[in-house]
Amino acid sequence: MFGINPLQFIFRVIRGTDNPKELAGGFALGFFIGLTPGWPLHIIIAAVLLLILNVNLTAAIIAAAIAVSLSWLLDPLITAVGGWLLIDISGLQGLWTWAYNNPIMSWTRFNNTMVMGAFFIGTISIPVLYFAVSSLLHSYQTAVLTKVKAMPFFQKLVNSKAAHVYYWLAGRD
Amino acid sequence: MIIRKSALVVILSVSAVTVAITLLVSNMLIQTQLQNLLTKQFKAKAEVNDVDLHPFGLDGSMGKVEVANKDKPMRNLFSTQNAEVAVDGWSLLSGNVVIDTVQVNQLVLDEPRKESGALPQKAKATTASDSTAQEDSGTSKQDGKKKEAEEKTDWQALKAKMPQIDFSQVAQQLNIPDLTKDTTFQSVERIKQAKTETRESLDSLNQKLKSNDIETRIGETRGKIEAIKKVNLKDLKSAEKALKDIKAIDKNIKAINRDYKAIKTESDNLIKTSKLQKNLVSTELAKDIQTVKQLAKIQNINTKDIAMILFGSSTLQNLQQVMHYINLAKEYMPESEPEPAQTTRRKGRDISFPVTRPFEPRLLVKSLGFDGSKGNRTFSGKLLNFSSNPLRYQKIVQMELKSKVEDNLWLVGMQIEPKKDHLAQQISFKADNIREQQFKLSDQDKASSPRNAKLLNSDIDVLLAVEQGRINGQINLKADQLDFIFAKKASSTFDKQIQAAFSTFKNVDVQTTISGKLSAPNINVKTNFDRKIANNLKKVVGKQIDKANKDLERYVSNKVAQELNLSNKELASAAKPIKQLLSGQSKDLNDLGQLRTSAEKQIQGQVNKHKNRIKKQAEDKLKKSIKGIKF
Repeated sequence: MFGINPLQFIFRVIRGTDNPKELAGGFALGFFIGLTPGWPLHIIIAAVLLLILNVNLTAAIIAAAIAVSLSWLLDPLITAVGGWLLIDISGLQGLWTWAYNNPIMSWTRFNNTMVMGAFFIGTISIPVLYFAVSSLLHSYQTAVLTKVKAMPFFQKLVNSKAAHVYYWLAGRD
Repeated sequence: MIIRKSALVVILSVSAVTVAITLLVSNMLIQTQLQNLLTKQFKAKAEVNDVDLHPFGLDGSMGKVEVANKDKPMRNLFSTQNAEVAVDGWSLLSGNVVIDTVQVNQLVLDEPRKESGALPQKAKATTASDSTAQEDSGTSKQDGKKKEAEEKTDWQALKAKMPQIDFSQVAQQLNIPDLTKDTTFQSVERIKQAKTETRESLDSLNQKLKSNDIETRIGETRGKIEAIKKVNLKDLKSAEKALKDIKAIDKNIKAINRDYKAIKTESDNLIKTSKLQKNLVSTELAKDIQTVKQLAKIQNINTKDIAMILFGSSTLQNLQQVMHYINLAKEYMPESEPEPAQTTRRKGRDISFPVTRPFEPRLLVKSLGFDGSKGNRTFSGKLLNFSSNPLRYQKIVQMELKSKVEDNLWLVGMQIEPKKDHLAQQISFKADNIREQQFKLSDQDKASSPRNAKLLNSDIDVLLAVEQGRINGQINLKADQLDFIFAKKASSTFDKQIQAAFSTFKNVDVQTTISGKLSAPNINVKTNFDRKIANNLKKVVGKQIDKANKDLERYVSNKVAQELNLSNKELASAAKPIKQLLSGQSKDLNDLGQLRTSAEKQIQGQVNKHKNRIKKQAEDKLKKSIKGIKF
C-alpha cells in the first residue's frame, strides 16, 4: 500500500520514475528518526508524520538504517552537542528548566545528552538532506538519465529479453 | 497532495479502535491491576468488583472490595461496599498517582469470610526438606512459620544492605572515665616524679638539719653564758675577765647564726620550690589532652553514643513513636516499579534541572474519606494529604477518626509535617475530648489479631480507650494501658532537636520497623542517614565532638590539678616539721642573743661598779692626804 519494496525502490530510483522530492523527504525524516535512540515522544510524532505525509517510506527506512549504522561514529559528536546545548548554553537553562518540569516534555527525554544532540543534529539534517538529496536526484534525472536514454545501446537494451525480466521484477508503471 | 490520505485514514481508524477497546477493557484491566496490587501489598487474597472508570474523565467508582487477613485467612482485614475516586490526570503523565478524593463507604474491619483468604502456595523446587514431607504436609502453622522465615530472610537481606542505627541499644552517655581507663597520663606521672624528687630533697634537708646540731651548739653556748653569769665578780679583774669571756662567746653565736641562716635559706628555697605548679607539667598536659582527644575521635564513639548525644533519651522515645507511624504508613504503600531495562543505544547522560513544580510522591491521596465499623462499633473519618513519601509532599498529614460511643463523640488525629529539605518530621496528636493520654492495645487483642493491631493501631487504641473510659468527659484508664507518648512533646522535642541535628542534611529519608512492646520497644531505623553521615558525620556531631573534647580536656586538667593539689598538700605537710624546727632554732638563737646581751650588760655593770668603787677609794685617800683638793 505504501510502496515498501526495496527492489522496486532501487529500480525506480535508477529509472528515475519516483518524485525526487518525495524520496528526499522520506530520506530526511528517516535519518532524523534513526539518529535518536529509543522512542521518545518527538520520534513517535515524526514516525506518525512519516506515515501521514506523502514521502517515500523505503527511502525513510534506508535512511534510518544508515543513521543507526553510523551511530558508532556519530554518537560521541551527538552526545557532545547535546551536552553543549543542555549544560554550556546558559541562555537556554530557563527553557530546559521549564521543560524539565513539564510532564509531557519529560516524555521526550530531552534532558538526555544523546537525545538532545540527536534532535539538534537531526533537525538541522532535515532541510540539508532534503535539498541535497532532491537536487542530486533531479540532476541525475535531467543530466545523466536523459543522456543514457538517448544512447543506442540503451535503446537495444530496453527491447532485449533481459529488459522484460527487469520489467517483471520492477513492475510496469 | 502532500498528505497521504490512506495513511491518515488508517492511523485514525487504528487509534479509534484502540481507544474503544481500551475503554471497553480498561475497567477490567484496572480491576485486575488493583486486585493484584492489593494482594501483593497485603499478602492475602484481595477481591475487587465493579470498577467503573468514567470514559474521558478520571473519576470512577468501585464496588465491593475485600482484603483477607494473611494471619487469619478466614477473616477479612477489611472490606468496603463501595468507593468513589477522583484522580488527577496531569500527574499521571509524570508517572505519579495523585488521588484528589476517594470516599470509602461501609468499611468493615475484621469480619469473617466465607472462604479462606490465604494465597495458594507456590510450587517449590524439590529440596532436601521436601523428603521429610511427613513433617511438612498440611501443617499450615509450619507454612506460616516458613513464610515468616522467608519474609524475615528478605528483610534480613534488605537490612544488611541498609545502614542501621539500633536505638534500642542506647543506654549510656559518653563515659569519659571509661574511655580513658586504659590511658596513662604523662602529666600525672610527671607530678608523681616531681613529688618523689622533692620528698627526697626534704629528707636530705632534714638530715642536714640534724647533722648541723644547731640546737646543741645553742645549748652549749647558753651554758657557757650562764656559767659566766654565775661567776662571783668580786673584783674588777674578775669582772673584766668575765666581760672578755662573754665577748669571746660572740664568735660562737655568730658561727651558729651563720650556719642557721645558710640552712634556713636552703630550706626556704626548697620549700618554695616544692610547691608544684601546673606549668611544671604544661608540656605533658598538652600531650595528654591530645591523647584523650584521639580517644574521642568519631570512630571511637559508636552510633548509640552519637544517637544519645544527639537526641537524648526522651527524644529517642518520641522518635521511636514517630518512626512507628511512618513505618506503618509506608508498609502499606505500593512498591515502586523497577526501572525499565535500558535499550542498547541508550547512551548519553541525563542532566537534572531545578524542580520548580511540586515534587510529587509516587502515590498521593489528597483526601480519603471513610465510614465503617468494627464489631458493633461504627466509626467514620477522613485522611488528608497521605503520601507514599511525606518528604516530597509538604502538607500536614491529618487523620480524623470519629466514633460514637454512648453519646460521647471522640476525636483523635495524627499529624505528620515534613520540613523542607530536612529529615525533620513533625508529629502531633490531637485529642479533643480525650485528654492527652497514652493508649495501647490490650495484649489479648494483639494476640487475637496482630495484623489489625498493626494496621489500625491508633484507631483501635482510641476505641478501646473509649470503651474502657466511657466516663463523662474524662477517661479513667488503667495504669497498664498507659504506654503512649503524646504529640506535643514529640512535636517540640523532635522539631527542635532533630532539625538542629540534621539541618546540614538534605533528602534524608527514614524507614523503621518496631517490635516488642510499646513500653519497651525495639526500633530498627532503616535510613540513608548513615550513608549521609558517613560523609557528613563530622559536621553533624562536630559540636558534640567539640564538647566531648572540651570535657576530656577539662577532665585531664582537673585530674592534673587534683594531683598537684594532693602533692602540694603532702609536701607542705612534710615541710612543716622542718619549718617548725627552724623556727624553734631561730627563737633559741634569738634568746641566746638576748641572754648574751643581758650577761654582757650585767658584767659591764659590775666592771663599772668596781671601777667607780676604786675611783672613789682613790679620791678619798687623796682627800685625806691633801686637804682642800677638789675633783
